[in-house]
Amino acid sequence: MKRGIASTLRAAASLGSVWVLLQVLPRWLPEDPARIAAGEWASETEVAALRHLMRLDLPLHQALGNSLDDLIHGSLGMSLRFQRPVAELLRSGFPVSLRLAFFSLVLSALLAWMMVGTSERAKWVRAAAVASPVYVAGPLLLWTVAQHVRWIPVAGIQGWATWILPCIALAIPLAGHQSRIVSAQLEALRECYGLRVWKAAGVPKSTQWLKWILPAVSGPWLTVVGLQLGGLLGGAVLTETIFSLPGLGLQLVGALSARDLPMLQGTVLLGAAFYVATQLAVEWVQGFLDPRTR
Amino acid sequence: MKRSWIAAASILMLGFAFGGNGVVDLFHRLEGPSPAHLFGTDELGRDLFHRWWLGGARALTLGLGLTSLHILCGTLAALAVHPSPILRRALLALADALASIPALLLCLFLLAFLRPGYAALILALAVGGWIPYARLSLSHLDTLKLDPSLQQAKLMGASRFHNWTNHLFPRLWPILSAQGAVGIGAVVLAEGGLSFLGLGLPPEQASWGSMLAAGRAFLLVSPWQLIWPSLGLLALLIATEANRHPGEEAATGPK
Repeated sequence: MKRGIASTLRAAASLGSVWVLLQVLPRWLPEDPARIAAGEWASETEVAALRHLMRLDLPLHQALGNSLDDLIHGSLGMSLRFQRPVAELLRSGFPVSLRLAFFSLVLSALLAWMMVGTSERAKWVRAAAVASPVYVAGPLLLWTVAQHVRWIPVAGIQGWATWILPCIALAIPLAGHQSRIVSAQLEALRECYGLRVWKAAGVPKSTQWLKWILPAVSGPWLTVVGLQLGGLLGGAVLTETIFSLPGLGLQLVGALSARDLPMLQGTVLLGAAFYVATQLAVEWVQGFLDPRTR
Repeated sequence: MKRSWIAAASILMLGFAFGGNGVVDLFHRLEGPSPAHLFGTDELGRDLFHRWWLGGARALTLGLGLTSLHILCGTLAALAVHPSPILRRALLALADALASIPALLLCLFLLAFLRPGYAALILALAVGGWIPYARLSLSHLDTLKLDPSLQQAKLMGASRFHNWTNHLFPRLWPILSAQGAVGIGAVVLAEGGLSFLGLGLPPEQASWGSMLAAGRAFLLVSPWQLIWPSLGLLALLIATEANRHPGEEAATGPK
């Protein structure tokens, strides 16, 4: 219980520092963000107006205060491009990205167990999976599958078939990493004395798996899955660009090309919050599975 | 052995890293492999083999160079803060905060307000890249400090610089380089992703990421621009994956 509170506090602290960093980093950049957003030929007054909208003209403590005010009211500031609250915009993109993350993580877990093994071939398959980032696997899948199979859409959301290719592309490298960890764990268990005693005593295979092997493997596997789930909003940027899915990633790319600072800050903050929340959840589940980590 | 192989390959390629961008030939656009153009041509009629080679050389050069920069920044930061518990806490807190932003999102956030080019790419990747090396050095410095030979050198009045170069760094290096071998792959991966989005290297400079993006646009006409960089990335990343320190998985498992 005590440790739960401590880790929650630590998570909150690091999320708070992310929030401060997102306010501070644009001020530390070598060039004035307002000038870059306004363009080379904008007049000084235009740049000053933009700087005001980005809250870069205020001293840091005031900018932080205003941002805190936005946070409390749940709006995350106004998007410069759409003139609407950032939170409202993110709310429309989040479900798409969340669905993408969830489906691809489930798929990657299935794929990971298929790739488990200690043979040379399994090692090569895993290395190839890890070495196929989504921006390689995605276009290749479009080329090999989408142009021949009519009912799989190439871009945009059209029913459940939409999710097949993006999820496969996103899941392949994730599965490679997961199965590497799982295989290493299984390999280590072969040396495990207690398990060998069980085997020699003729304990049924199902009991071995349920009571010993799965609990032993699930800890490190969950750690990796947690890290991957937390980082999936980053992977979503590339996936959503390749398959034109209107999620957070595509919103981020749009905000980036429009130099929409409040929108960028909001999206990145949401990404970090998602990451921190996943880490907390993983820690909680692990404490539940393995009493030693409690 | 594998590590030296990568080093040799990259030194070979380094000479070509900053070559020209290829000749535009609009009469021979999007062609397949032929004796004149070994890998075919891209949408502007430029030779794909030339661009593929340049892209690979740049990826490797950036991978090696940036990883060295990350290692340098990480160890220097660790060295600077480790005598003081408060500073050490502060550095770890900063590392935790930066690490809780997904790496690609952090890069994109920074690149939005930097002028595109090598400097922007290096800065954006370096802001998050030093973290694992700083953490590793910090966690090992404490035990390394107790090393008898270092104590002796200190008693004999050796300078800090001498202690660092002759006692601490040689012992940190195996740990840092094992992490760095994986880090090269991560940098190549990130550079490819950013270039795929059009935010990495400047657009006229060939990069595997931007070749893939262009290949995706001309997928139905000519897949070659998609195939070659994919194979290149696959080979490079499998090489770094094979280079992974075998003890790493064991460290995450239950004791």
